[in-house]
Amino acid sequence: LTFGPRRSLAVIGRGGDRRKAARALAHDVAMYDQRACFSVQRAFVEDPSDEFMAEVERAFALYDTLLPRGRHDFDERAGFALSSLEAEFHGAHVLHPEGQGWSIIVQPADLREVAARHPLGRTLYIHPVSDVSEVVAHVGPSVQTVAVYPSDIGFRLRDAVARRGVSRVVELGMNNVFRVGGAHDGIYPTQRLVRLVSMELPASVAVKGIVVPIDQTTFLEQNRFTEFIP
Amino acid sequence: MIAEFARAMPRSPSVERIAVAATTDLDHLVADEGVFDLPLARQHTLRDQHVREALRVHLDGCADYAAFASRRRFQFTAAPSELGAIPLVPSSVFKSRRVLSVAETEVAKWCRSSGTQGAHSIVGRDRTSLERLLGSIRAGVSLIHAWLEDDLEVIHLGPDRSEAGDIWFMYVMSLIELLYPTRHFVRAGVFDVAGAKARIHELVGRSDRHLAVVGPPFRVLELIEAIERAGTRIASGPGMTVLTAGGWKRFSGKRIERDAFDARARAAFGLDDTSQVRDAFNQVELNTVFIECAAHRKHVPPWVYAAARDPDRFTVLPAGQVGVLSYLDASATSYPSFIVTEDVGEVTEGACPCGRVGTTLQVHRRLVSVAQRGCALTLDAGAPGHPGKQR
Repeated sequence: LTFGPRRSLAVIGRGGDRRKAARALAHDVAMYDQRACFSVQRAFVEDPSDEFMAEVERAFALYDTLLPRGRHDFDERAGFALSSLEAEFHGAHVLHPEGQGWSIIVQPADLREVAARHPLGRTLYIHPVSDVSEVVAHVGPSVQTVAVYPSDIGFRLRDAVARRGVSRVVELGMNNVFRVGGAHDGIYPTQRLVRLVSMELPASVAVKGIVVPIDQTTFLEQNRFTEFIP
Repeated sequence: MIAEFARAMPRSPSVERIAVAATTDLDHLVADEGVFDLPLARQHTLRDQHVREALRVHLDGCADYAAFASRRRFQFTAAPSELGAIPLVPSSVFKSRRVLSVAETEVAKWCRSSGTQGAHSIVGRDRTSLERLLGSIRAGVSLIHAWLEDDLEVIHLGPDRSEAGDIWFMYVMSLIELLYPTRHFVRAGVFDVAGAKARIHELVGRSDRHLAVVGPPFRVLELIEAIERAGTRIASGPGMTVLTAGGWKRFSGKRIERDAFDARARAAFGLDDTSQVRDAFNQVELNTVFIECAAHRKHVPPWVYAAARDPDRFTVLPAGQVGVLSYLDASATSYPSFIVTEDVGEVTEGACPCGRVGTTLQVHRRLVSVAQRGCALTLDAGAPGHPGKQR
């Protein structure tokens, strides 16, 4: 069985508590320093106002203390810096505060760039959108989780993003919480890893769908086989 | 001076006379085969002057670069300042857009990277840039020997220029045919290893010609292996140089350590010394080819500012420290060859064991990009007990 590599996206609408959205976004970026498939790499945001961006900055700074960024080797650090510099060349607004372990790059969503490599290490690309449905064009099988805020956006986007290959739609801030019964990348992996052997109950036990002890010879004699054996 | 010359020219009432500089000081410098023998202070002076002039050209001619410099709050000053502060363009930018300091009509050749690691870089070069690139090869070859045209015979383990097309590393190597008599041994994408071997046997030992085997290391290795298999002895002594360039590309699985490569080349070709095996470095976004001296150090000519940078802010590291390599190459006129690369290496300055004084470069490796990570977990479907394992 092969899992990943996959990536995840956030979608933030105009409604709800934007401070809460910013904190949930920072959480889903900070968790595992974006090394997990469910880590948010890009956020598609309706109306990323200055107030909202200030909340996002505060939230990222908060998570820099709550969950300080892990150690990154020379190559990873160079990757972060090169990505920021490249975005700056393309005219993006880049926030890369000295001494802080995160970067935020605000730029229009470009289909080629969105699919391109990502340096990870708490680098968040924010793509302003006029409507959250615009995210659908940027979703493909490489996207594992679409994290939404407010959560009712999930009902609007669910079918479209499912058709394009995503495995999960969750509320923003809940990326790392896998509910009991939820599938992993669209399957139940344990079932693929074991050979199932059944030991069946004896005829005397009446189980679901069969309300009498099972005596198949009698059923056949009475021509009632299909009545009792579904 | 040119303006004075124009004024002094006899005038005709019907003809407007304009003096055009056919060559510049930088063109003369690039064409100077003694460029690596200049005193270090002179090299610094020339480098600062030419890089600063190129900076002005690109700020004036390249709107993208000027806007980028402005966003980085960089202001051009005519007075000498730290070259390390000049804004650097990540080489990856050339993969996503065309960055030009001239009109597209002036581009004589669109040059494309081999794209070993994914997308291709595309760089537009005008005639001046291409001519200076060729000049850098000529200057670099002088680090091996100052051959006259007919002193050297090249066995090129690659295609000729027409077949090389716009693939950069093949094109750059094929340029050797403009400098020396060259025979190419890749046709229609097929390497004629037997032909190359036969040509070496034909030419080796001729006292009137030095022989140069030029090609990417994987092709040179293929030739070495063919010679080893044949068991024939080639005794070229001091009469041959092996010049590699272009790296291992998609043949990285065949890569062997440099020392081992040199030793096998020495044995196969019967060289006197491993100093006869040289490597050259270039990338499509860089307009200068760096060639190794006998001490296997790549010398940086004085129209390029090379620096290793720290990986966080790309500030210039002291000489000798390993960092991300960057170049300010004044020789490119059609695009700003002011780049920070995805290579790791070190830049040193001062006396080189080869006897020259200058800036030298060692490229250690490519940066390892962080692939999309996550649950990239492959579970063994053939584990004991799994149905797929049963027969």
